[in-house]
Amino acid sequence: MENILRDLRYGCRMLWKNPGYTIIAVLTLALGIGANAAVFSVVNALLLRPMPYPNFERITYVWASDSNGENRFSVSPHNYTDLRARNQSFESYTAFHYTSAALTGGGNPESLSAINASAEFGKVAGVQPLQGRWFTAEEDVPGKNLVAVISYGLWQRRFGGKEIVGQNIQLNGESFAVIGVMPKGFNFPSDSIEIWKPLALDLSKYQRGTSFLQSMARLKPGVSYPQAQAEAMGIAKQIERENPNTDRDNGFKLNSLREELVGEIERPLWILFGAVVLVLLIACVNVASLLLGRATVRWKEISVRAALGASRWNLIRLMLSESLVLGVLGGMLGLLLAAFGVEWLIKINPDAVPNPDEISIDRIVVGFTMLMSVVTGIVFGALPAWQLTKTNLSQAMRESSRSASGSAKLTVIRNGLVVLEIAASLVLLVTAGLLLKSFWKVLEINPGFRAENVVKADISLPRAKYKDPWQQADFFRRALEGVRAMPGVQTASLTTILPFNNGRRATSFNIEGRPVAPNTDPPDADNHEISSEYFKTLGIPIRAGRDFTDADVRTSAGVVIINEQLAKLHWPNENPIGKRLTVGSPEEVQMYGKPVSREIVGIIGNVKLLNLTDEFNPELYIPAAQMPNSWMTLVVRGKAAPESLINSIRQVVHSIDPDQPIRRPLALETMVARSVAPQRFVATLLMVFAGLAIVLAVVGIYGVMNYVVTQRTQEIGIRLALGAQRGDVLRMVIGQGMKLAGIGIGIGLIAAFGVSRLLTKLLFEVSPTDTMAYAGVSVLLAAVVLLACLIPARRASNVDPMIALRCE
Amino acid sequence: MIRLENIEKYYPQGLQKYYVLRRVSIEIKEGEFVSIMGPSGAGKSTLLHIIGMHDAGWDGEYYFGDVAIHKMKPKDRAEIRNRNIGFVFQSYHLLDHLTVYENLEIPLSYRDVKKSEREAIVGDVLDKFNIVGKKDLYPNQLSGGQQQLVGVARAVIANPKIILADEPTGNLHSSQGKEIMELFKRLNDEGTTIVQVTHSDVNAAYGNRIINLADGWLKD
Repeated sequence: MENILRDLRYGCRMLWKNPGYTIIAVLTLALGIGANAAVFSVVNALLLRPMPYPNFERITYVWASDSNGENRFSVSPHNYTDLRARNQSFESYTAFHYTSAALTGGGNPESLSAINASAEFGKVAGVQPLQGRWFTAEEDVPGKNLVAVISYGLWQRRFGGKEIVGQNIQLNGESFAVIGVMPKGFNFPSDSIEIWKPLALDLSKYQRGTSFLQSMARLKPGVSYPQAQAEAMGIAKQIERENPNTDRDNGFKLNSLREELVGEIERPLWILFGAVVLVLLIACVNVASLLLGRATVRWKEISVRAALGASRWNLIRLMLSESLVLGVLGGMLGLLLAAFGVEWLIKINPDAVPNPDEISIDRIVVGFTMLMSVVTGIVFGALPAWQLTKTNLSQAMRESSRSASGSAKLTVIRNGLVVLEIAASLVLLVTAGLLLKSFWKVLEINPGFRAENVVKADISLPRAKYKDPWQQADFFRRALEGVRAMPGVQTASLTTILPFNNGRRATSFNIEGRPVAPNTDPPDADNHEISSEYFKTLGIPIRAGRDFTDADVRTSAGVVIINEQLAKLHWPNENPIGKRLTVGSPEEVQMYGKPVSREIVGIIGNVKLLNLTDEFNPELYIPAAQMPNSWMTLVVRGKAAPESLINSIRQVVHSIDPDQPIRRPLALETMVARSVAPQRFVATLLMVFAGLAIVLAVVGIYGVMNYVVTQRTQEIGIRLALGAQRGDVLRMVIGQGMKLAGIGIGIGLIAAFGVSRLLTKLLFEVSPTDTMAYAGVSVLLAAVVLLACLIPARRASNVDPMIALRCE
Repeated sequence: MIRLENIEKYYPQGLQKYYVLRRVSIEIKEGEFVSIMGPSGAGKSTLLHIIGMHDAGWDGEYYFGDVAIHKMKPKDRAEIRNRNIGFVFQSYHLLDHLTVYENLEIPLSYRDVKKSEREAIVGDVLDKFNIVGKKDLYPNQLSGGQQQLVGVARAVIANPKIILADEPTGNLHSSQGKEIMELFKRLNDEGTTIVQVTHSDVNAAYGNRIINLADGWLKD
């Protein structure tokens, strides 16, 4: 131990006495280790750290699926009830759906994210309220369900943390008894939920095929996912046999909670982690190369120590002590960089990762970083230590202690390190290049609408207050009139489903004159209820026919507008304008007493609904004035800076109903940007890491070439004395660098070819073997190496033969 | 003490062999002060390094006392070397980043001598060589003669039976060289065997025997 401490002390002293070398090495390592620590903190928070629910690995989402388990859909109330009654795998099973709740009384009205869940929700989560209790099965029935559990954040923010359990609050115009407050940080199953209410499912209200629920189960101890999945599929088959008309080809798909919440980001995160490991490898190679570069200085010391009795292990330990000190110093600085880096990561892209608040530099990250620092110290220190301690004592003790053969061997090793560095940089650059190209292609996609200067606000009217659909329609008509009259507003409209906002809603329909064949499903399409000027507000082109007008009301003829995709699917060779279809939703039938026959009056361009990379779906649009809803989204195109309109929109809504909040006001451009946030996150980071790799590679290659020139000064002097031209020397040095670049690029291309296969799922319209990316990166890297060689080459060509020869 | 029989050392040169030492047989008795002399390239240093067990690639037989070195593994040879041999180099080879005290301590630390014992031994040697006042200085703060004085002190600190010196005064001016040679003489008088490589007849005169080498051969 004493020896180790002494070696460490000597190591520190050596570094202190060589500040330039120490600063470069520590900075290089800090960049590599810091990048690793930053990405690891994200990986740790999202993929490794246990979720804050007891036995969280037993919690699973249960989706409806195809009979082969592919795709996934919301679950129907009937199927949820059947699966709950029949399965033996679930300890508890709950159904729920996301909703919003307008909280009024005692302050400004607030629109809160809420969940309506069945009674076993608390059991599935496995977390008890901080105060009070979860709702019971007795409260999970219509008429007895006016109870709510609230979040810690809401309790603190709205009620000042005072006694709340047992008190009543106004949600959506109804009085709910608060029965529980959840602990701080509880946001099951996803963030921003502030109210949990009973689902109070009334099966009689729903047909078998109607599905709108999500469901989650907690598996019994000892039950594996495959077992539970197999049982659920078996029950799906039973349901299919019992209900062949409504549940044909149905199944269930289980998806673990962690996979559900972070599944999409998992692969990109591991790719990022791989990228930073490559950056660290390049940093290690650089520092190893630096250490080897000091070989001529250390050679004498090592030889003398060996001559004085040091064993090889003594020498290796001494050298590793120095590299360990470097590694730990680099690690400490890296940790500091990571702390800022993580903050920056979240700041530049808050929507890219789920639960960004969870990401922090905790004890695990610190421990990982320190371990990595030690391992790094050993990795970059081992090769130089091994090589330098292979001392030929006899030769070393001679007075010309600089061993020519040793130097030659070191040069070969340093060349090898440069090749490795170039190869690793190329892999990283190709990966970054492919993902950047893919991201670029995604950004080039035309979503079918113009998002600039458009702002939206969701409005959900409480049904207790606005029971009559026409009362709801009247509210929205007044709100729209008020907003259209606001200064700075170009156009405004209303819609039930806005692209990139609140999901999709599909409906089946019938084309008049085309009866549906037995045992086949009627066609379906995404369904929107909109007011006039919607297409104008969003900049969606009308390809044929007309827009809705204020004359398309309840009492006028039923009309519908379809998109090109629907037209192409059902009227490929004819003009759909003037054709008729019926939607016939239960709500429509309830309002009109029968399905409304609607004439197709217009065809609009296709629109992306959820993601830029989605296929276009068939869509149909119905006038909101003919089919009112209690929730709609107000869309407003401003003349400029649409965010400035949000307060005015809120005032207009409040002037109609002071208790009515608006929800999630946001610019449409922001919403579209959010949809590509994970891709942007990965592409940005990879670009940063690739840039870092290039900088490190340049420094490394420059160092080696400089070293080579120093080693060959005498030889260059002789060559010049024998008649070589400056250009010959320049070419000789650059040629040597480019030879290394060629080998490194060759190896890197082969490695990149293998690694890029892992990217296939992340690439959009870009092949993992995209020739342009590979060629571009190779040329870039070759140019970088050329640049790094230029200064040493110029130095070599300026060697004065007389001085060079006299030096020796 | 040391007996070499038919020692040969060569470097391969293509299919040929380039001999540095040819059939060298010598014996060095305990307490002797031997000087190895000869022109440049004669093989003097090579022979010294073979005696010092730094060089392992040779043919022949080497006995250190009764121990057959030529039959030993490198690790065992290193142990014999550490226990019995001290070295002095022409260029002193002090470690630049260590103080005089630490330079002296090094051979002891590689022999696993306890810290308290090391302190005592280093203290004694500093005293004996009259360099106590220099113990916290770094080599670059010393003159050449002082550096070589530390070099010799370092060579004797582990109490070797034999000191091998490769042109120990080669980098010193004559008065400093004289001082060092007298130091060797004193050590020899105290019982330490000395083997030096030298070009200087004056330095050789401090010893009691000269071994002459030419072109790798032993000359009478």
